Amino acid sequence: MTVEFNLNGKAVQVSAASESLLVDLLRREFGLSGARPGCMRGQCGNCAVLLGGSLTRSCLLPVFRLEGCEIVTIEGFVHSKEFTDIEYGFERAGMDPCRFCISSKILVAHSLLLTELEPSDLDIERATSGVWCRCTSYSSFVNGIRHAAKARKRRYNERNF
Amino acid sequence: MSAISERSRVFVPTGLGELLQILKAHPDATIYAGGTHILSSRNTPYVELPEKVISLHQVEELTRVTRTVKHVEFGAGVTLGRIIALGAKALPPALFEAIRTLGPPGIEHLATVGGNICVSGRLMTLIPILYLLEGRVELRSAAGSRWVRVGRVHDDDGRLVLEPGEVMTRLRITPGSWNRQAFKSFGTIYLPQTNPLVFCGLAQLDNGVLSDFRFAITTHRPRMIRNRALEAELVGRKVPLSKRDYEAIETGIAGVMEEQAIPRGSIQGRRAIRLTEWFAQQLR
Amino acid sequence: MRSIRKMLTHTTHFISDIYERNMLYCYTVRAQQPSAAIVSITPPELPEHCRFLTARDIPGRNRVMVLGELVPVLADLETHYAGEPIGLLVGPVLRELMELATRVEVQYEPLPAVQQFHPDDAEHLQTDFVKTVGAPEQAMRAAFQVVEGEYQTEAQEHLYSEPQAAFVQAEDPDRIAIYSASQWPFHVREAVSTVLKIPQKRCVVRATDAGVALDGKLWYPSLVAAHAAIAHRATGRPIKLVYTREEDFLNSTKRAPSHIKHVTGLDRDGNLMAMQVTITLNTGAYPLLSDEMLKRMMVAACGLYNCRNVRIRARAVRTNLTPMNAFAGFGTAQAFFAVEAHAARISEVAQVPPQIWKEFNLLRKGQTTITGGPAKNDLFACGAWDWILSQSDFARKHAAFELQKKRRIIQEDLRASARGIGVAVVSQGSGFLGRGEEILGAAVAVRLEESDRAVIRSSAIPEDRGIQQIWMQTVARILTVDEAKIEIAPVDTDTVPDSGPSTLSRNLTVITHLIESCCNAIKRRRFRSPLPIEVRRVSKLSRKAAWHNERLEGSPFSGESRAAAVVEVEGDAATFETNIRGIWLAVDAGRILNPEQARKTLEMGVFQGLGWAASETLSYLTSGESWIDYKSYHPGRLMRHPKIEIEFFGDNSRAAPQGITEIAISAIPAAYVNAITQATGRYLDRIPATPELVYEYLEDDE
Repeated sequence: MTVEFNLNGKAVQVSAASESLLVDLLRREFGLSGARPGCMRGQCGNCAVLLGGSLTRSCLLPVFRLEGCEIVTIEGFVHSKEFTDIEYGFERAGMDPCRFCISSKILVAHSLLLTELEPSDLDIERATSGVWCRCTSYSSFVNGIRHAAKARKRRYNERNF
Repeated sequence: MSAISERSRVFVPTGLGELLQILKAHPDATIYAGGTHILSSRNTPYVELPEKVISLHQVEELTRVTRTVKHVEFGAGVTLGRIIALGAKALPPALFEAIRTLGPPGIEHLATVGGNICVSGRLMTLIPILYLLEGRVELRSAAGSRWVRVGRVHDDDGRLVLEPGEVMTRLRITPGSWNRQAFKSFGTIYLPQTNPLVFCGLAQLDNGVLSDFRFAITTHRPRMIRNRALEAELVGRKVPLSKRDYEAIETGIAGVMEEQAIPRGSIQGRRAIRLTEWFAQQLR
Repeated sequence: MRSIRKMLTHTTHFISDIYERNMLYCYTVRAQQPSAAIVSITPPELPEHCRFLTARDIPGRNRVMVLGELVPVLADLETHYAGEPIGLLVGPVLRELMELATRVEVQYEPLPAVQQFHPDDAEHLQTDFVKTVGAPEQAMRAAFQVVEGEYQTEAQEHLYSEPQAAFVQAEDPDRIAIYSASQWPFHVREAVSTVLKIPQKRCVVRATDAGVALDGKLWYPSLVAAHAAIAHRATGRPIKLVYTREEDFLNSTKRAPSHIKHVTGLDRDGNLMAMQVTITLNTGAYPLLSDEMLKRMMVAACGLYNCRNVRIRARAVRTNLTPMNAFAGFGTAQAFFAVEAHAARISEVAQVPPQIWKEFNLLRKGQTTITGGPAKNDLFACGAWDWILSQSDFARKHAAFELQKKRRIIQEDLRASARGIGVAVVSQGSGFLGRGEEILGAAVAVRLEESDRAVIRSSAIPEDRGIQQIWMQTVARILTVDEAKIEIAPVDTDTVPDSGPSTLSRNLTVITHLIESCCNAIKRRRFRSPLPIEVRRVSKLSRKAAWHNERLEGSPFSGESRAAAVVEVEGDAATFETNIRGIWLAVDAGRILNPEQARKTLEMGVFQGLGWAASETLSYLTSGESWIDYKSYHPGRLMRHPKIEIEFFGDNSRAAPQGITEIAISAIPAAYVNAITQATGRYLDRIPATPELVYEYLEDDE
């Protein structure tokens, strides 16, 4: 089947078997490898993308589901202002995630901050449980999110001021 | 790779009317809501869709949320993420907690309330709390519609009672004004080896008296576990409950668990008893 | 610290990112029987564009060697574990290969299978080492009381970043390039050259990003690369072989399960008189690395305690499970879990608070260890012990929780929770045992160029950016060059020397030392010889580092770090879950080159240890069913943001840096389980100590 959707701000079209998953299409058809195939069951979180602005797992998105959708991958997200908050927060916390999970960690942090600019410990714990990786010290991830939250609040305040 | 081979036929209706007509013509088609259950519980390393699939994601009528004085209604296609976005204050705390803890982050923007209810063969996480909140679902077909209580969507073997051509379109709950609520879940419903258990409790205290009390438990077994006799026995009691009341709780819970072939001495059995006791102890 | 943006804008890092025109996929066909003779393997009718390969298609030798032990590349006559590779399907569409794999028909003649691990299984005993010090039988007979305990640890999934994968393509007419995330690139080269029967110089291995590997990519990538190479040889096309995460979970190596029995004789005061330890390691189908693992476990078997009468027996038992592997520590974590859980039991039987008991029984600096060498350090002199006791308030809490435990009555108020606190003391030895480093012959080269640019050439795979920074800082410091001008050459077996496997903290100890040595040599020649100057150094042990590998006598390691850990928990009486209230870790690891990175490494180790101790379950290994409890691998669920306090002790100025990657993994499980033991009043002696296990132990005694 052929579907049309918006990918990182551009209208695109793809033809694939209906059971083809977005995580595979992104790398095969568009050369975008930031969303990583992992468990392929929506558990590990390494395939994170934004669907209509919300965090989603691209291994659970078959091609027929994409028609008319707006997908942003990490490759598109890095050009946004929201990314700069996360970038600041992670670097301030001294985070050094592996390249395999970094995209997902960034999108998870962004997704949390979309709904909560002062996330509680529980909010952060729930958010961070969504990405499997042994690469990062837990406290630096938590601190990264907290610093990112401060950066985002600051940016919003500056914008409103 | 040469031609794209289509193993499945996928329908993507853009309205409720179209959906019902497709279902009438293809009553054997599989409804695809968020797809989280179909894709994550498969037995193969590759994705194999059913022969005919109807994707609901473009049926706008299924994405509405409405609120009246007594009820809240969710379209079957409302994602759990959208429900969470309503905020903790807009929902009964136990329901909010159930939805929040349902799966890892990112799942909630795909998983739908209808998808969680309409899984055949098992009772998913939201069933007990929706049941306690007097949940009812609307089942529609091209021929008409009917309302069914959440507890009656599955038969005793866990199979969905939907007729051919029927699809769930709405969920209605009665939030009520319960001043004590609890939700706890353990294990993974797909894996009996993880001793899955969902406990939900609702209680209403008025002037130190338990004026209403409900609880529901689900496990990997196909039937929900309740004990109305126990609930009736406890309603009207003063709090804190007495030792005799706790004995009744232990006996009552153990009895209904054993009816489900879950021994009282198993971890599921003990958790069910202890969680009910623990909930009862919160009633002060 | 590298820029987040830069990390994202680079493209290919992982094998799953590689796409080449004309590329084919390779998918592994696996045995369904744990133990059987293979009568026949019949593929389904294949489309023209697909191929099926078996052991008969291997041009060279059908084996990968790992430190003297072998594992078949493709099983031909017999299968020894369910999931053992028996064939390869090659074709352009991976999904098609997966479907075809389900239709490969294999006829088996089942053989007896051992899937449950029995410590006394003499029939499947692979190795049996014994070490005796003093007169343990005699001392045991004279003991005032004897305490026994049996301790079990289960397998643990490495859960490295990218699942196992390999990419192979032709480079020149007669050369092949292998892309692999191995911790030991030269091992991959050797394996592939043996399997294809070609000289090693016709293979080049290029390292891709291994992420955090934890020894899961020590030798197994060589097997995967061999599979891809066979497919390449058969088709002449670029081959990509990538496991799904599930396939990796079900079929790749795991931390070896263990069973350790302790029998300890105590004097009247409860102090050690004799220790008898029997270690049994489940090696799975192939006992790879078991010699090194068993010997390291023997060295750690009596912990850091002072006992002059010791008998240690260590055995490897083969089972029909996936081959087991090292996991950060090569077995010492299993040994320390057992001895530290046992120490807690001893102190309770002896009715001495655990911290007091340890103060009487731990080795002090200068006292003799069970290998006959002097203890080079202890945790007392440097202040680590006092710190951890005071920071955690251990003595007071332990006493208070003991009182609570004793007063606890049945039908207690379920809102009250049971609390416990546990302590463990461990060590970590860097590098391979004894003269293993010399046998491996690790080499490193550093080159100083005219523009004051320096290049480090080594096949070592850094586990994180922190190690790379340490190397670069070392070069910058000695050669007084700008760090920005220092490059670590990409790992390519054509252009870097063989530095051996990146395991056992060798990157921090051996490789850093070699880099220092190269730089010092360059520094001496710098103003006498024209640039560029390149120096290569190979690891050598000093003659003083005497170690007898058969008798296990002498100094086992080139260096050793020590740590004490305290974990405080609270048990939920309604759900049997354990919540962690606090973790404290005091570490003496010599010179800390990068304190911030060291803390992060230790914290990662805390979580890895907790996952192993508290939640990660691999029951499918023995159940025969292929289900994975993914939820048990979510790290965040283990903790509700408790404090983790980490502090460093020891001589930071002069001592050589010692490895710390494994030390938290060794220390945390026993401290955690000891805390639960106190909270529940039951001797927990197994990990993972899941809520189900806690419940089982509570029910057992009721």
